[in-house]
Amino acid sequence: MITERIILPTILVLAAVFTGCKSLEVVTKVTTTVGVATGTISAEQAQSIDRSATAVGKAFEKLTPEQEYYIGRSVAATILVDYKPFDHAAATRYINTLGMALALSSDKPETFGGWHFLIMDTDEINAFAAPGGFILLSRGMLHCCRSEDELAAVLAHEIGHVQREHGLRAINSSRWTSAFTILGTEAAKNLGGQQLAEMTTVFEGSISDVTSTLANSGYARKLEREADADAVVILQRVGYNPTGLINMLGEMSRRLEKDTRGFAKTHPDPQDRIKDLKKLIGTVTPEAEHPARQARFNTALGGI
Amino acid sequence: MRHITMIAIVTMLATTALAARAKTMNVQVREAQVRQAPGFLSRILISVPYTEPVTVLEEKEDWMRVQTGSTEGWMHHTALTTKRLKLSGAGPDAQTTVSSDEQALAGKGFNSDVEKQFKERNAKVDFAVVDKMEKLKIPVAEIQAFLKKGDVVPVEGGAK
Repeated sequence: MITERIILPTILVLAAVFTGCKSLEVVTKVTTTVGVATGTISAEQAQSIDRSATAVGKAFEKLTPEQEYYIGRSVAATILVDYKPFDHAAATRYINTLGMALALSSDKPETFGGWHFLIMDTDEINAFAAPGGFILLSRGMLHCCRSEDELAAVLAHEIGHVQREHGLRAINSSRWTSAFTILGTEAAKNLGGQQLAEMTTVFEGSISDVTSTLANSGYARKLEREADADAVVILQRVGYNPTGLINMLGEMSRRLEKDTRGFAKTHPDPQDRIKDLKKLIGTVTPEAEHPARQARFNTALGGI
Repeated sequence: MRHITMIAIVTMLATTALAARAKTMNVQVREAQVRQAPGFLSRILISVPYTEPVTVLEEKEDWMRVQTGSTEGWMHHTALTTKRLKLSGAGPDAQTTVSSDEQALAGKGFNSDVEKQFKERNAKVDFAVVDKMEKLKIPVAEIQAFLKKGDVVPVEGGAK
């Protein structure tokens, strides 16, 4: 009980401070074998998030795309322990085609293993951008989109998180200290048994840091603003109306009101992001009607 | 006169050295494409594997005109790095990397060996789904047709 008294105010403070999309969207039930998710946010995690949110250093920038790729694979695989993929070839191909069109117009079209998009089989409103270009969207998130432009906005926002390496920033600086120490004891060769084991422990910790941030706490508000700003740029480059992002957030806001699961009730309203976006876009033009676009959107995602 | 000649020679050598160093970059993604023109919708001439060096001939915004073997074409700058990446011989995942100050973690840090051990420690983590996710690749021609059919027209300059 005492613990709950400590944790609840912590969650409320976090909700106020970290008003990112993961705070808004994520229902926190990622329980993993790497001990990532606990179902709630502990004071220790809060401190960890605080440190990462204030940018503890830029060690993550030393990572090569290959290492970012391996982190991304494990983060995605860890999240997918609790969120099963939605097995629907047409819908999956549709979001991958749209996602690729957007990614190629991002500032990071080339990632080590390419960009990949997957639908998670849950009604929860949720999206994860794992490092390296592994993007996971829930059916619940897709339900917030009523047009291709709105779906493009969701994908472009997640692409923004990846291209700015927001996930990697969640890795605690102590991991880097450990990694450099291990590497420092070893010349330019492959890691040997003991060192490999130690490096795997650092890796596990890093996956835990990223997954915990994606699944439980969300990014700092500043990072969400960056991803929204990137989304606007990407959408315009490709030819989608950035108003789609505003419209999607409006629908998400309405749906979150009805969604009583997880932290949905206590999460800040997407209306704050809408206000910022209106300032950013300037003249907001309504989404135009595109019959062919709408028809294929309805065909691919109508039944999910 | 001799001083001027010396300065000229030193300057020339320094310039040549700098130019030579700036000209070689390495592929930092699993496989990068060399295209006929700067743009992802342009025809692919050849694919270049991870760590392979290319000679940079020209830069144009986000694109670099490169030479690899007898092929000349364009690569997006995000596929290339000035960092030295070197294979030990057993394929991309078994590479070692020449360590340097600016690249202390490269290659040796998180790689397939680490992932393998991570899998052993965390049996429930499902990499099969991620492997399947990676297998789906949409050809550029399909993306191009998709945009055209959907009447998706760039507002500012279009695809990079």
